[in-house]
Amino acid sequence: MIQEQQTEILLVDDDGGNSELVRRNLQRSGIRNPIVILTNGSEALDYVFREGRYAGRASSHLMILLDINMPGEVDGVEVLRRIKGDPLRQRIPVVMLTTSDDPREVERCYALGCNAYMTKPVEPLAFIEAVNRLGLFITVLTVPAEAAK
Amino acid sequence: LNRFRDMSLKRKLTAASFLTSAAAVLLVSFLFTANGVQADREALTRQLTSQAGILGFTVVPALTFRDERAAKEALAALRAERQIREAAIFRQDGSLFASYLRDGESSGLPAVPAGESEQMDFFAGSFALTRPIADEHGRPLGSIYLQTDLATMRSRIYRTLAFNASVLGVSLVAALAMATLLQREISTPVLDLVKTARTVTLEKDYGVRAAVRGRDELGVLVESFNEMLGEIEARDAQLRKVNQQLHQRTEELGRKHEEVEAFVYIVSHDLRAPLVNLQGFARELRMNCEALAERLAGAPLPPEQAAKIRELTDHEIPTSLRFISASSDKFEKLINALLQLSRSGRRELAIEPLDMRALVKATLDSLMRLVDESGAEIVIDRLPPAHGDATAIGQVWSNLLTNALRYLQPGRKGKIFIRGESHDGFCRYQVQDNGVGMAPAAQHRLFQVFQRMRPDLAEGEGIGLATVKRIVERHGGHIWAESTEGMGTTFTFSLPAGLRKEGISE
Repeated sequence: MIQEQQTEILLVDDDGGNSELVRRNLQRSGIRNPIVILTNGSEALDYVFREGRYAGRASSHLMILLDINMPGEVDGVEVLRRIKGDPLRQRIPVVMLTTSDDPREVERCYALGCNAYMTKPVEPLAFIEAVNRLGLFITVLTVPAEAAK
Repeated sequence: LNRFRDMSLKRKLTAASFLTSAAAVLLVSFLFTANGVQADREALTRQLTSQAGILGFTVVPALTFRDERAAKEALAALRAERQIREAAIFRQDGSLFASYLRDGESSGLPAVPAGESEQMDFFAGSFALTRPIADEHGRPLGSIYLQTDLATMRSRIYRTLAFNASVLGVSLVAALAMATLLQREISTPVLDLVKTARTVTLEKDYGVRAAVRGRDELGVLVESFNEMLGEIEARDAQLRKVNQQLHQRTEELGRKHEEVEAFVYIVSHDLRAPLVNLQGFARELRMNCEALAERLAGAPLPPEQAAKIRELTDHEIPTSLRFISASSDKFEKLINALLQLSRSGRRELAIEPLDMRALVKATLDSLMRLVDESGAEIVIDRLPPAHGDATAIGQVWSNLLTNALRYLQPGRKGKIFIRGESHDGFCRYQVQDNGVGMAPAAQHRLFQVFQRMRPDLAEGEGIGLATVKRIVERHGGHIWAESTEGMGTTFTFSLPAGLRKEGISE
């Protein structure tokens, strides 16, 4: 299947280190999709809804890796609620990231309509598997080792 | 009598005193009336007897000389006596000699037999008397008959009766009034007491008091009742206070407990994130370092510089990274252990009857490899059933048995005894080994988190016994250990034998 536009992977986590590790791991696994790292919920909402400093952003296919616990007024759950409550964006796949497998948190995420959840640290293989399960197509290129920075 | 029993106290007291006085008054007036009637009759008899005597004496010459005229005149003198209705004089042979009739018709003269003695007869509103007449020598001459009507006497009796009846009526009314008034002296304090008792029962208000009205037995009763109320009130207040304190303390304890739980949970979660980064970036650095070494391998560098760089990339940097990784791995294990401990404290216990023997056997089966490796001999003695959460108690056995197997004395054949007994509603279970034991100074740290006694003999985070203690205590039991260095250790834990609700959850 040929997509005109590559799916953008949005990493939202207040822990930038985690996102950076995820980014590196995904790239090392051969994922060539553009990866955007954001560190708080309201910025993520601006990005998804193309508001604020992202008002002029070109629309794109998105898939979001969203940390459930983030400081500030908009945490991961709120971002999830807003996305799943918007008719135009409710079909954006959202994978929730949690530090625990606390059943209450997991239940809450599924109740709000998240597509999958993963516990940190994110294993690239588990991520790709989750993506496949969601029926998403992500460009995975097998590249020589030198190509990977 | 049952109706009397169910009457109110007021009515009972009134009725009792009224009936008593009524009975007395009735009896007295009856006796007086009867006595009056009797006295009247006697007076009448006496009067008539003496009149008959006088009259008889008067007519002796007339009888002797057969002078009927004189006899009739003598009888006619009776007209002065209004109540004499009829009179007659008979000869000794019983024939009529002279007679007198006050008015109207005769009610019939009796056939008078010649008697020697007097005869008296009350009949139909009349009283009749027959008396013999004799001359001065005592020779019987005849007899005299007097009949009197009883109207005078009757009217006197009726007057007496009417008077008595009115006295009786007044007395009864007075008795009723007195009874009604006096019963209050008894019934009012009693009713007051009853009212107070009902207030206490219905409203659970121990602050009310019954009024004390006198120094009699009722006063003593009311006073004692009040004293009792006072005591109950004081105890009630004290109990409420203690209860409140207990409630507060329980709440406080629960709050603190929740805080600690939340703290452990949050700490173990929030500590993980930076740790994961630490591990991740250490890995990144290792890879970067390898890439750097590869690139430098082909670079034209002076040999001395190259050797120095090689020393860094091949030894020093990897060694530092190894330490970072090892430490962060250790860190992660500790956090995981803390999380596990926190979970064992929060998990809901499903209390059910436990077949301890089966549970111990299953636990030993799961430890088969460890048992085989240790070569220890395991003896299972009597194990009474208890109540508990199968998973949690299984974990207790597993931890205790693993410890016993791991800390056996190297070079000595291991022996482990498992036994139990029930006593005073509790079941006690023991795991006794002949292992390395512990120094007395170390024993008090045994059940604390992260305490490792013999890290040289086995690996672990040091939370096994802390978890065991939590589980046993959440079941309402206790655990303790006795140990002699070089001789072995005995762990004993107790569980409630019967069914009970989960105790204060840890």
